[in-house]
Amino acid sequence: MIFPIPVIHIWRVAIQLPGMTLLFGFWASLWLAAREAKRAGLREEGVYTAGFYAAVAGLVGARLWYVAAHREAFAGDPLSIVALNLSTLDATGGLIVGVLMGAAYAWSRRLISARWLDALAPGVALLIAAVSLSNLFSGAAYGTPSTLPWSIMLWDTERHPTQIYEMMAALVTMVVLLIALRRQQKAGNVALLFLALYAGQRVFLEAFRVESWLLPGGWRVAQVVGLIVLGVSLAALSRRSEKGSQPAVAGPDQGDDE
Amino acid sequence: MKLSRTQSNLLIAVILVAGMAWTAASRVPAGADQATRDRARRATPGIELDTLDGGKFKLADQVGKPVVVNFWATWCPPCRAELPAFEEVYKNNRDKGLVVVGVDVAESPEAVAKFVSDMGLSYPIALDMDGETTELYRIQGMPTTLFIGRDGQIKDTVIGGPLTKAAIESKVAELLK
Repeated sequence: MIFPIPVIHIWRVAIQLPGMTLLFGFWASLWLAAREAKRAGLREEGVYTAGFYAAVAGLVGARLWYVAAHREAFAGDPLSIVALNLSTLDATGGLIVGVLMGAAYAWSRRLISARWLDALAPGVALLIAAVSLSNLFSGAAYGTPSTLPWSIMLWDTERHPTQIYEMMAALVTMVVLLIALRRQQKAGNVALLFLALYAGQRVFLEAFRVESWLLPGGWRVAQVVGLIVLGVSLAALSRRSEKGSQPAVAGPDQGDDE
Repeated sequence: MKLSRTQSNLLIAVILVAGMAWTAASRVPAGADQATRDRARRATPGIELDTLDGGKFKLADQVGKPVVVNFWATWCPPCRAELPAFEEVYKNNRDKGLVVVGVDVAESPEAVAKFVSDMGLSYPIALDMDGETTELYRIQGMPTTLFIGRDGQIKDTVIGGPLTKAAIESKVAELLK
């Protein structure tokens, strides 16, 4: 199979695979987070509502962030600000605005708690897997050349399938987190475990990417940041295991957080 | 199995030391930095096509200039809708060295010439009559627009349209930097 596969044709309809994958991934991650929230005795509607606000704000934020970075181009054609061009969305801006809006909603409804963050963690891991699959279809975040038997043909070169590595690592993380949630972990531990696992993923897998951001000396930014996050989260988990804390799953005398 | 504090700290230290060793080992070598990364990046296939005015368009001759390559066809409604925007962006930026070329896919020169004349397009129109260039670039939907930097590398690919003038201008601005 040759990548990327940005479009598939079903009858006369051309479906943009990367975008569709992200959409389904986002929905699936919300569903999983809501399910775990319900299992933990928290109100699942909060997850869907926060997700809805995050998605809408993220989309608007992505467009406004892009427009702000290209003010001159849009000054002469202001109606383009609301045009349906997916190529004029800034992913970083959208992510920042979306997460802030979702967090602001959760904060205003007093949803944010260690148990809530634990419930969200597997859903976030699933979303990361979906983003990786979307990258495979779009050809983004591509790997270094390789002659290994499992290399993929991407951009006319046999490469490490970094997007597949990332997706598999994220799915393994999701399974580990789901198991941890069912083992009555102390509230907040599963969220810390997610941070540690994802940081470890970044430290290991970033080495196989071509377009990493670099520091002087060739150090990859994602690996350096990942090491710091890995150290802090592991230290926090170790420290918390020595202290007492409320369990992640609500007992019969604990209501939900709303 | 619960670990003691000492065992826990030792395990964390081993993990972090292994992580640091891996990070150091996977640094991008300074000497082969840019050349190595350039070779690993996605390649830009060559384009060499006849143009409507009887000339030839060769992508390899454009290195050093920012290039916009728009794959289109007269039967494609979003392709037609965005052509005036490409014309305007071309006129606004050709003094800055911008090259715009429309690659018509698998149509007769006569049909394309009449259409281009009616639309008043002034940028070069290349003819991919046998579809080989389209196949080489694995164009999977029309319109598809490639934004190619001065180094000859594809910086952005947009599948679908119609692109607005602002959208095209914003991507051209990145190429002109």
